[in-house]
Amino acid sequence: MDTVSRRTLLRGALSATALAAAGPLVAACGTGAGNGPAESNNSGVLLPSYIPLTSGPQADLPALASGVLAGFLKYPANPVAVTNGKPGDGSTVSAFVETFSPVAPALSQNTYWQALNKALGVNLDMQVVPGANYTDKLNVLVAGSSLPDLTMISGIPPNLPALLQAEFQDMTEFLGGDAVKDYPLLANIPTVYWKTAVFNGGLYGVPIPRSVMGDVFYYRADIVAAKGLNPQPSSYAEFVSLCKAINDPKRNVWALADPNDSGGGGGAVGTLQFIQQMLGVGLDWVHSGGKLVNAWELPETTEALARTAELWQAGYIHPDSFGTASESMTTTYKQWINAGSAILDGDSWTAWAPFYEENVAGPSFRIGGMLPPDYDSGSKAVTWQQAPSFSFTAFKKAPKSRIRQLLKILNWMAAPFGSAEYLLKNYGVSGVDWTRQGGDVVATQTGLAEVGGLGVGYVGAPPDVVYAPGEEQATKDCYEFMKKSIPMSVADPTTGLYSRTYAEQNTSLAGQITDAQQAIIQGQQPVSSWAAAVKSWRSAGGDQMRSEYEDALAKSK
Amino acid sequence: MAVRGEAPADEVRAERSTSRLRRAVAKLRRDRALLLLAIPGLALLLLFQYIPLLGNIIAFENYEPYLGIIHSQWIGLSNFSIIFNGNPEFLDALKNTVIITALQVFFVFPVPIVLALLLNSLVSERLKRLVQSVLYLPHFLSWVVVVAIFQEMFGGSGLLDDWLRAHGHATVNIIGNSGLFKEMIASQVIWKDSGWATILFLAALSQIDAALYEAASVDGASRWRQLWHITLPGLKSIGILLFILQLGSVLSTGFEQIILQQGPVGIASSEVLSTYVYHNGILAGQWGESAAVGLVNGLVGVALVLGANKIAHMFGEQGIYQS
Amino acid sequence: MTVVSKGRPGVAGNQAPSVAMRGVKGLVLTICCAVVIIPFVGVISTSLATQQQVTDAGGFVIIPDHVTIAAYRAIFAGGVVTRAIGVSVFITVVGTALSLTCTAMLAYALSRPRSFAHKQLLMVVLFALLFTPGIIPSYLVVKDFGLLNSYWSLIVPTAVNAFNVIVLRAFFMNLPQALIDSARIDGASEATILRKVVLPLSKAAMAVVGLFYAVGYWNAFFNALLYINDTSKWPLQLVLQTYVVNNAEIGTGQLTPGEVLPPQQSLQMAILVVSIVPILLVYPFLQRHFAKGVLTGAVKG
Repeated sequence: MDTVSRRTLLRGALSATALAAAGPLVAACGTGAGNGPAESNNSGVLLPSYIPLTSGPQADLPALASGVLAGFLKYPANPVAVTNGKPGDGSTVSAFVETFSPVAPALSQNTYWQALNKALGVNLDMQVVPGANYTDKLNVLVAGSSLPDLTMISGIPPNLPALLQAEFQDMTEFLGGDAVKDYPLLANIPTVYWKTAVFNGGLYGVPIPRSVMGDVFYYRADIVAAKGLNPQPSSYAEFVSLCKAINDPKRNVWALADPNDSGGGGGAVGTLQFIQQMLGVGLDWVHSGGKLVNAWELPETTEALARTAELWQAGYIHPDSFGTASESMTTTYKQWINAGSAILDGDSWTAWAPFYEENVAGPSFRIGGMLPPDYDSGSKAVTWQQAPSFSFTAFKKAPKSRIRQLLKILNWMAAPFGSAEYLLKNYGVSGVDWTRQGGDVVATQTGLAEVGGLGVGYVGAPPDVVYAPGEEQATKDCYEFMKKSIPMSVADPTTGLYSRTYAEQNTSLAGQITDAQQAIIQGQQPVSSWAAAVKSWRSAGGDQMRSEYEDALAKSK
Repeated sequence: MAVRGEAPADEVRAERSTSRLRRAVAKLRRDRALLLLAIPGLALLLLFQYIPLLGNIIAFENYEPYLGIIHSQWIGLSNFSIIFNGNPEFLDALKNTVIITALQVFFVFPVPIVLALLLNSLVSERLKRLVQSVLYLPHFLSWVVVVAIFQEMFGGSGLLDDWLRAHGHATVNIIGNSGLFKEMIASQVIWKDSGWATILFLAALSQIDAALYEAASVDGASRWRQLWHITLPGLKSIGILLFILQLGSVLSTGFEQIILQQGPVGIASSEVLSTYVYHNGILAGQWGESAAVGLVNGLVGVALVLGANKIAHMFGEQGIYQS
Repeated sequence: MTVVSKGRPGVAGNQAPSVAMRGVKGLVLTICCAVVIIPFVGVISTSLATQQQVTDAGGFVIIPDHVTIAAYRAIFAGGVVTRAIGVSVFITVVGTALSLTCTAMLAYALSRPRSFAHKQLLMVVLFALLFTPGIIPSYLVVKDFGLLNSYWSLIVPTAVNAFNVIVLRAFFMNLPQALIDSARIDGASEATILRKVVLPLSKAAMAVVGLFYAVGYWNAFFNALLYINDTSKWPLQLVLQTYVVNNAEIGTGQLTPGEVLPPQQSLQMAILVVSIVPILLVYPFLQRHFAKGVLTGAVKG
């Protein structure tokens, strides 16, 4: 009989918050208000100029100004080199990153790592940590003064602005405005992605870009088509009829996988959020004339809650969907979709192709994306954006020459998709880590083991693309959906702004809100209890957050 | 000592304390070999547990890692307020914790003892070893896996409900039933850890002198009387010891296990003290508050352990230490 | 000289358990075993199941239709896991040896209630059980001792577990005092008494405490996470943690094409199996120490 140590309690608490924090808090880094990529609203800070690369690889599906990413059907046959010579000076460069892949072999057994060192002209010392334990490790590194040269800043650790100012380099003089011309590949990163690294009037790092494209409400297109149903309902009522028609519990088939993907914002979409989108509710906060209103406070949200509870009552939502708290149900929901035991599920746009990879339903399998319809004739539906960047890389304070050297390395790493450098960095050594098959690059077993786990992609990266190797249909479908979804999307007006109360309290407050929502959806509490939950959110910190964000908004005009 | 009549109190006291000191020194000299043996273990404890414990000073600070312990702001007892701010949810959590602890005491704790006795009475040594090796397996699973397994069995689309649904009965969804939550938690603990705890009791049983059993059966004592008079007393001291030690960690009852399963049943029926503190106070990065909670947990644990030990003494048992 | 009976105290004598009793016992034990075994069969089956079956069964397979070792192959590819197993074995063996030594010595030293500072030292151990230091102070201490990035950081800081000390002490105190007294009268030193009298009689207790320590070292991962930067020095559990991938974090541009990874559930179950098997192999060797009647005849002989 082991005694549960206090350490388990503390560790469990702190690491679980990192897990919970990484999701919703990422949304808080990002763009400003309005449709599409936002205008600059931290005008005090000089962001790097955007100088798109003209000689780079050509995409099959072109990127659009609205924020739609470029799409590639295959990796280009002749990858161009976009840099000259080695950027490094032979020193050791240490970097701390999260890893989302199995640990890579050590340097002496890792062909990829050795090749990378050679191409860069430095010795990379990668210090990785599994995502769930990121916060703990970061904090001991800071407390123990053991920070490496480069640190991945993921989510918003509390007191981030003060932490950045105390330990990390303000990069404005190196990258602001035209200074970024020294690093042409970094200049290739559009302005919107840099905003996530701005705090306290300084630019504190280089972003890892993703996309403003938010979650997609997926559905099993093959099953819906086989039943002759309309996959794009034009009102909430039609949506419910669709759910009713595909729901079949006796055969272990439920219409909806995910009842509620809320967790304090972030743009993740479950059934509740989808209905909110139908009603035109903005993402997290709605901004009008300098004042902020939280989505939870809107009457439309109360209505969406009532509808979701009805759907649960009607038995259209998978009964096990409320699963375990700290473990992400995402994988389970995806599995239900693949198994056909659920038909509709909201998930990240990057999940489009992985559905096909886990496909067991045969060649007719098809995934589609459903846009939220206008709830009724009186509403205007919206989709939600995501935080454009995944994280940013911060530089430990160091002499200027060292910073410039590190920036040269990051410049190399920002080589765009389709280039020779990107091929080496993300796929490894030809013949060992990957081979050409069917005109496309295919990783070998060695490649899968050596590359992902090293986490180099989180140190420096170019703008993202839509690319699903071996799944050209998925790539095209995803690209087309982006073209439709982004123009009707809204962003969270508070992204890119820092609120101390949010950073410290959101995990716990959002957890309480989620609990209230779960209770209402499952029918344990009446819809009328929502008002009380919002009220207690407001007094416990919500109003405080609001005023901090409004302050920040005012200061950034 | 010669009779002195009215000796001055100071002198008597001085004499007593010097003789006490002398006795202590004599004891030290007598036991020094023993104490030498204690040094490596104690040194490790002092260096790697007690020195870092000094770091709990941050319970009184507004600690930031980049400022360090010395430079972080001193805020006295503010961090402790999360525990004592009179929230009604706190009382709910307290109630749930007490109920779950009671279930632990009356239903979970005896199981390994019963299992140990059962195994002990098996005739076949091989069977005993085999069963033992099977029963302790679940201990190695993490709570995440155990909860997943229980969900597979008892969840809304688990094996049980699937079977019920297929045969036209109403489904029960045990996992989602808030009325059964505490019992579910206790069952999970039994399933996961009983086999493991049995090992300890089996070891205690093996220390019992076999001759006692022989003498008893020669005297005509039935199996039940042997159990009552020989076996159970043999387990008593270790059982009481384990019970008291468990009390020390009652405040952190099942944190990992419970936090994973609150979703389907809601907070009111599932919140215990450790999860309450987590939800209401372990804010992201609040190191000072975490340390404060750790301190309070420890102090309550000390009180419970020492108190339980005293009670054990009242019943004539040894407990952890004799007074 | 009394007859030394080998191990079945409950049956020593002429009272065999009744048939009904045996039946009840058998039933209870069978149910207990079934309740444990079936989920484990599921764990192993899921680790060997194909993507198709895992998806159909909703993530947990009891009987696999087709057996595939894809999950195990994926885990052992690249030699990282093999190396990590080696690291874990080293840490467990060395750690358990160190821990048992220090713990036995300390437990014995505390097993004499009238010895010098007995109660105070016992309190020191007890409080170590009830108060746990935070991760940042622990990190700073480990750093100051120069143990960062070394295998010793996974052994030395956790070498002495207060719970195990107290348990072992209780076992020692249960031994008949007469044996120890007579050894002392014979002039044996404390260390000798420990070695020659106490330990041989405490095989079961040492086996149990040793097992507790061994499992603790084998399962440890958090310390490695904090103290060791070099992944080639990571123990098994930490390495295995990285196989549980959260797909949501990977951007499409990052997806490596090629062989499809085995289904998540299979991987997780295979990981479980790989991390449990070594301990399962060790346990049978310890079981013989739980034989009864260790003390029989010792006092009389």
